[in-house]
Amino acid sequence: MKVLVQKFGDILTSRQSGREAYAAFRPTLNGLSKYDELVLDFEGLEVLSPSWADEFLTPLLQDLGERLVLVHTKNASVKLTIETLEGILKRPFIIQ
Amino acid sequence: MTAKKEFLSIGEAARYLGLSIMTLRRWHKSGSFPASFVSPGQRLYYSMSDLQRKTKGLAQSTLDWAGAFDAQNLPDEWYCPTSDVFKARLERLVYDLLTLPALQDRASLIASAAGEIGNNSFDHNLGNWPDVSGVLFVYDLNKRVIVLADRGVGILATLRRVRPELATHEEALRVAFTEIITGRAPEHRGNGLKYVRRAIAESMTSLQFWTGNAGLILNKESSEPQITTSEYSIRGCVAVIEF
Repeated sequence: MKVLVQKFGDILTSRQSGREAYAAFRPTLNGLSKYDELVLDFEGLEVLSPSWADEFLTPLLQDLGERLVLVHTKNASVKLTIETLEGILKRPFIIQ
Repeated sequence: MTAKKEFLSIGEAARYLGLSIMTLRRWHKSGSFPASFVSPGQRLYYSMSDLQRKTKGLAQSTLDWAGAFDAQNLPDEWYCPTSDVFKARLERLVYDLLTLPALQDRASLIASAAGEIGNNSFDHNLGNWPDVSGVLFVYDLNKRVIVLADRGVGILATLRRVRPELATHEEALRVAFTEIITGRAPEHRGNGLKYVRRAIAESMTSLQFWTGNAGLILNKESSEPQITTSEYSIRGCVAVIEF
């Protein structure tokens, strides 16, 4: 399953909107079999920050582990946010 | 003895600011810097406080606001009473930054640092604002400066919830910008300023940050924060990003 993160907005910075995005997205995961990957595509996103990402990416990483794959992460704020979360969680994301 | 004049005529105000009367009339008409008072005969008058605010700049006005015992009125357009208003104004900042060709690669880092600072103010003070709730958020693309401030509880009181041994604003500022904090699982609040530090370094910008009686400088030359006792006593936090 592939999801375009930009569908949640161009500028994703607050915990509140991260929580809302995760709550809205969570039921979609029910359609994911236990062998499927979830690919989060960051193409087109203008700004990401750790507050939003901690509410959205952290629970997904905890649920899916290596079945969570991040793509198109070259935006500078996306790249630095992912590195920051990895430092806090002490756990790497799979990035392709 | 003559009392100090509270209001200056447009000619006197123009001389005070070093501008032409035409410019002041244009600013009044456009609303970018309206006169403080218009007489029944349509003469424009300017208060000394408005003129001083115009000359001393965004950062000093904000420091004065955050340090005052009673919050002074600042222009409504500087103020975000709720996180929704802050979000909308942050989006405006991103689109404005992207209009500057030299900032294309750095705009996302600068905006995410500003977003993290502003959102921190809302997240850490929710239900706890001592007097004025919300965030001041103003920027000037010509002067390449972004200013954010709140009159919340400040970094020391916030971090003491998870690090009760912290004693001074300087210590709290150092922890906030340099140490990963393990708070209540599964949340990781309190780590936003570590991100800000890296975003400032990678975007080759500079940051000045004040809370309580402590001040911090991050500049282009050094990634290590310089933390000192400051001359200000800030209620909450003030951040000035120069890019």
